[in-house]
Amino acid sequence: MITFTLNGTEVTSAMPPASRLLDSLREEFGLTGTKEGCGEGECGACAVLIDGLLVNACLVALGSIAGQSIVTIEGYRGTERFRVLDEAYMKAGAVQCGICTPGMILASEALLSENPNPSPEDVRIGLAGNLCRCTGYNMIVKAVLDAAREGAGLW
Amino acid sequence: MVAQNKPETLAEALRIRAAEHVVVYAGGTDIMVDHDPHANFLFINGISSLKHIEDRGDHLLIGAGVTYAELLRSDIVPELLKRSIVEIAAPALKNIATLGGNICNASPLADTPPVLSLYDTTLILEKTGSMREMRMDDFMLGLKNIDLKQDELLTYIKIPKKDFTDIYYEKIAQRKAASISKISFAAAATVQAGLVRTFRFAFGSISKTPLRLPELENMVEGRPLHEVKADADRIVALADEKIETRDGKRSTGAYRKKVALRMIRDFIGTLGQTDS
Repeated sequence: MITFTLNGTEVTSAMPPASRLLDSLREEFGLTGTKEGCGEGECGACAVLIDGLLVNACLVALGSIAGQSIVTIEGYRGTERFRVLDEAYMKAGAVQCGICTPGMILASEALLSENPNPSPEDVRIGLAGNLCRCTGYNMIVKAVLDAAREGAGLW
Repeated sequence: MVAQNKPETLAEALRIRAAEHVVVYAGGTDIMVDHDPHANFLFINGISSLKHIEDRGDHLLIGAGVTYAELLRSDIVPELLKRSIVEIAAPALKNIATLGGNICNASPLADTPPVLSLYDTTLILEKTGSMREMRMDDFMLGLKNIDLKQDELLTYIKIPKKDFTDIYYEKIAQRKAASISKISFAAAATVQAGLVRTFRFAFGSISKTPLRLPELENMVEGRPLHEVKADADRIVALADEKIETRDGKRSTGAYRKKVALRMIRDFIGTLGQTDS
């Protein structure tokens, strides 16, 4: 049994330690905001925060996070930072099919918490591990820059 | 039932390593790609003593569990090593992938081993009650093939300090960021008072371990800079003889040979810019 903190609550998983965190989140805890894209760490659709750091849940064995704190998009959505990013993504047209969006939002959070005033190039580097098939990225980059401005002081 | 195996101390990790048949899990970013849900992992990511970067006077001691993101944030990690890490992967991977993992995975395509080889890096391998130290170049034998015993763990990476005045790094891959190398080239030299005192380079993705050419290093070291530059054609011709490239999944041997020789020539061309 692996015990960890999930979106602020202590939980215990009954899955084997070598299982993917991604599968535990989706199947055991019903948190389907974390998406599976490539399953090999290339696309970022399954990005979550582990102790505040952006990590792809498809590459994380459950046993490795025992005692650590996981935040998924479901846990993040109650925050003021999410509200600012959500609105900026909507206004910029940064969401189309939406599969990449939870990972993009969490990558945006990770970027802004490290660098609250990023340049467009900083945003592209910060989101380099998150693939989007729809937008062509320009709207997403704009959304993050807008969020940094609108949410000044939050990060 | 498989045990949890996430020790907080090295002593406990070494005990488990010797007692059970385990697969060592540091960052997990490679091992989880073809993940086996029933594997018996020994998770070493909770061992805080393997997460330090220390300045030990004549060398840096880097814990095997230090991540790429931590290396990039450090003020004491050599710039050349950082250059090999910047483009290695996206932030989500750099946050958990470790230097120890890159060495133990021993992929011919890995980006940090060529740099570590230039620094004559050695490794500390520990088991309960004893440790040994060996050159990284001797430890890495080829893909997933390393000189690590069943009861041992790689604990520290020891990087000697060098007085390199010139560093050079180039990686050729399909796209700019987070891509597997077709070829990587790390080079360093010490140019002082018009003399090339040390001159070395290593290629990644050409042979099963980082490729260095000692004959070529010997041919250059100790000679005046202007003479080395004038002799670039002959140096490159010798490299042409010594480097064997084969067709691979990501590029042809002919392409890699051509690029390799151009990188050597370019490195020679840039030498001595900081020498006054």
